[in-house]
Amino acid sequence: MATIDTDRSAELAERLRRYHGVGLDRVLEVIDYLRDEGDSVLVGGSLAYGLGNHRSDLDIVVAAPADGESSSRMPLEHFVDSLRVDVWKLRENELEDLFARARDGLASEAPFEGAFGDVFEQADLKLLHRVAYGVVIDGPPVLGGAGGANADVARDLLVREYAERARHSILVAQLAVAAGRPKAATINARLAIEEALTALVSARGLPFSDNKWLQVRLAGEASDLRGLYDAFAVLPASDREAAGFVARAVATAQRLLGLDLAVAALAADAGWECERLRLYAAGELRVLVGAADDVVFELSAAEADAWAALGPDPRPRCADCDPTQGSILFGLYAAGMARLRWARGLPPAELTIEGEVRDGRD
Amino acid sequence: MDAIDLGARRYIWCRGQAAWLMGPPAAQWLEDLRGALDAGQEGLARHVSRQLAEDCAVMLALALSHGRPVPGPSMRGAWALERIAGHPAAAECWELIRGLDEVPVDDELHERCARLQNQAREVVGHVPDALTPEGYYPALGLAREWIELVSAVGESGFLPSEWTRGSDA
Repeated sequence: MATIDTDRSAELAERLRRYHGVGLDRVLEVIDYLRDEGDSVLVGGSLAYGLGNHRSDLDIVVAAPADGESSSRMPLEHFVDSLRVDVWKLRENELEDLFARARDGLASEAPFEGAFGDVFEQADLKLLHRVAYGVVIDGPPVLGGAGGANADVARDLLVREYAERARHSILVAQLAVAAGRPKAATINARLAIEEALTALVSARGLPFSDNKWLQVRLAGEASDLRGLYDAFAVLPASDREAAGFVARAVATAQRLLGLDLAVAALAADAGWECERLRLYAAGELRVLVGAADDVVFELSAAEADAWAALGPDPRPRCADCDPTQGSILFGLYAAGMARLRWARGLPPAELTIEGEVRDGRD
Repeated sequence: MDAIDLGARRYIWCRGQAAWLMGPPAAQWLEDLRGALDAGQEGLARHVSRQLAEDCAVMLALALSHGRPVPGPSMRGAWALERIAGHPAAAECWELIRGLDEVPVDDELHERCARLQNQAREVVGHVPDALTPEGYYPALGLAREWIELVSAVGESGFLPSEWTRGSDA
């Protein structure tokens, strides 16, 4: 089989030799049992993108023909000396389906909310980028090769995902300030800036590997954004500075994403969901009980009235909550008993992030 | 013998969450930190020390204050810090979560993080790293014991979702 992506393969091979004394030929030998006639071996992840270090693992997708062996969404773990190699074997038609789902998601107004991987796994986001930006070390190109339309889809999906995450985090930061929870406020404000920057860096066409590499990007290919991040890298030592820190983060995130991120603007599209609690009264006692979670919250009479007005299984928009209801629901969110959901996503056309990127390139 | 002054269900649930949801990631962060420091990747070191401190804070909060449920990712760091206030490790957790003005790209940061992880492990217990050859089978064996324990108190599900996908639907 012809090996393509010669330059990037050579860079990758050099990295593996330097970190582990291992050649790509040995990696191919170890995973050979997973391969079939006509498939391709694609390397993605931090080592393929010029990030990584000697502790990084090697992420490989074996892309099989449509009639190839059965696939796995979980990686098979291997060790080649000190190098850990995670391998996913996937059929090309499954990869095509994933890109089709990504295109549908991008065309939809519905929020992503984890549809392409949650905050921890990000499985599909990473897989899309492995295919779109990965290095083919053996076999024919996958889905027409790196770059092109697939790279656009992978890029736009990540931009939108992280723009939506930034919107979420910046709303939580502002609600936390109002609720008198300064640490939650500043933690989420910094997170919002990091998410907005990830969207911006991704819009520049840099492949995504994991959240943890953002700051390395800011020290390298995206060093023009480093100063902006530095203002938020360390949280204020005093809780009294939280409100100012959050206000600065709101202004910065607005500028990065081209969105109005004030609570008043976001509250119409954001809503609470809380279906795991029931209000009970026993004499003067008013309690919200979550039997399945083994939790109970005591309410004042006024709070109980405010809660009851929301009806069973409340799903109010943030904009429709009175201050007492908002306070209760944020408290439940902070305790893991309510969810913050969005009525609509952020289609790329609504973001002016591309304009920012072009300015940056110019 | 210590009598646990808490419902068995909540006690086991919290210990299981602390050991399995937070323990393995914390161990992985320490590995990542070693790699970042060796490679001079200050930004990565800054990020992973923060994440490790948050995971340790959550582990301690679960094991010491038995908070349930664990809030979503956006709130769990602050949630944990509130619950471990006064614990000897609380100040270090906050300092690392808050972020470091200067990240020393040397062993000092690794020592701080390893010390914090050990403090959490002393409370929560140790889960072998399933991502290493030497930890793979011990982790599976320990998981089997934990599944039996949580089942005995009528609880289910504390293993990372990727371990149970398809079987816990």
